[in-house]
Amino acid sequence: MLSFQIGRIQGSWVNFLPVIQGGKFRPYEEENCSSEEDLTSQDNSSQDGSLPPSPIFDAIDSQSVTRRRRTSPGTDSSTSTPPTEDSHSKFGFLDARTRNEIALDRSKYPPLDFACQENIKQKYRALNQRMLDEGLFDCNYWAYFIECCRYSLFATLFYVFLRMGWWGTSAFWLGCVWHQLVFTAHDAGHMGITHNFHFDTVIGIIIADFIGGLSLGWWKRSHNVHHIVTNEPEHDPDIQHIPFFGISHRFFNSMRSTYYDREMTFDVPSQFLLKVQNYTYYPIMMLARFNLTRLSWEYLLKGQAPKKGPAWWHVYLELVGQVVFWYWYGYLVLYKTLPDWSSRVLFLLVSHVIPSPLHVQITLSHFAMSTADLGVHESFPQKMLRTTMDVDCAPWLDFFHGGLQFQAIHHLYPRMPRHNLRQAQKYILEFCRETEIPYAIFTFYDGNKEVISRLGDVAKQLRIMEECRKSIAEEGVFSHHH
Amino acid sequence: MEKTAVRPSRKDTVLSRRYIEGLIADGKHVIIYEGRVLKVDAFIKFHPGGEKPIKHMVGRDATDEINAYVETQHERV
Repeated sequence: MLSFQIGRIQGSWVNFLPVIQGGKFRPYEEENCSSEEDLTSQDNSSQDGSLPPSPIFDAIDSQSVTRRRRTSPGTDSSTSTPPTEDSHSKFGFLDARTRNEIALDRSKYPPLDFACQENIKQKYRALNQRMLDEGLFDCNYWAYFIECCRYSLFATLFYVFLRMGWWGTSAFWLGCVWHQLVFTAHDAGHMGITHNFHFDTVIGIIIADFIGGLSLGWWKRSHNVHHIVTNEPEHDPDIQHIPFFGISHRFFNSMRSTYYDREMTFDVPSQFLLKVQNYTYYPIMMLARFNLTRLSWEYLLKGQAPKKGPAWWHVYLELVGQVVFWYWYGYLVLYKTLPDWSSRVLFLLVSHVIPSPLHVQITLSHFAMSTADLGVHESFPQKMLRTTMDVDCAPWLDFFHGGLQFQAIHHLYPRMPRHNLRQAQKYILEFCRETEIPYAIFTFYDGNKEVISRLGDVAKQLRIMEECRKSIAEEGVFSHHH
Repeated sequence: MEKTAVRPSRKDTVLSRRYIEGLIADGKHVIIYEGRVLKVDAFIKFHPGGEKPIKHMVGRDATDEINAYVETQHERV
């Protein structure tokens, strides 16, 4: 990496808004640029460029929507005290809702000024060193031995019941194996086991592709982006679930996904499904694994995998993995062992539905958290803690949540092995106290309630918006210009 | 293009923010890491984590992100 160095910077760096996020950069001209220097560019490029590119409520009076939203349950009362000093000019083209959400976050989280964010960064780095010194980045292989015992037990049960002809029970245990194994694949994808890129990747591919029939490479590709731009509606693939779910009103406008490089059209099916998304959440989550299979195949067959560099061969191993998976699962189990089509469908459904607590767990950590974009001056640790929540559970239940209950800590230190996250939690609490960043933690039950209420909230906003549109159309009121 | 190439590219040259902005305007992928200016155009295709994460860090100080995700931490102990 350092061989690509072309120079140094003096002092501290003020971030630009990247091109992919809509940032504008001025060409450099030797003669006139040396004098005007940095001050001008700091203002115009990073702050306003970070705003979403399009207004949302273009056809209705946004004020009335806001007023009605405030009275609805679930809306925080502190919304009304936003420190929006620059709102009238820079945020002028934004809709009120987006503005409110940003203001709410800015009132809850430390200020975005340079000194404050720099202090957070320094404390974050010091904490990293401290945890490194205490061995929290060293993998606890004993814990993985216990994991492996559990996997083997579940796999054995799957096999025994299959031999006995208890198709449903057998499928249940296979589902349990998949549910549990995904956590280790996740660790491997983050190089959180041996910390060796190739070794961990092979572990991950064996689990995800050979045993699970999914693609580790697909998952890593989207997961890396998710970790960098967590909960940003245009950029984070993990919250881009149109037409099924939208966790922000910003999806009401067709946005361009920079991850998929396509328009997320807010079409008729999305309009319908988003209005009932708080009811469809669990049923759809139960079938989520089928979608993962689709995305995995898309990744492998469309050549989205890295073709160069150290990861060039992973795609070939993954393709072998797919063949092996469909041989044992599709041919040996589904086709050869199961006697008829009804038991085959039953087996397929049960084995795919049982791991669904995992999908709930994955979405839980982010769906109820903020999707507001505070711009490029926000430090990495603050952004992670603002967009991610943890789940409070008893230590004996750790296996069920598989480390994802410490999602916020994991987002701060992604390469920390899973079994050390609980130990790291007390340091993170201390860090949050010192930096005054709120640490979001809910029980699994309350976390679920949060997600459902967020989904319901967005559904309600959509309904209100449509009502407004309708009444405007009926009364013949025309929207004024922005 | 020609104008930016005039500048010597020795590793310790101090580059101004305005100059770096110009590089990015030229389509270069420039990120900041621990006070260093890295131009990663040759690397981006080889990045095992894909191109998108790098594109999201263009023009930004990626120190914390790189240290969090990439295998540098442990080597430094």
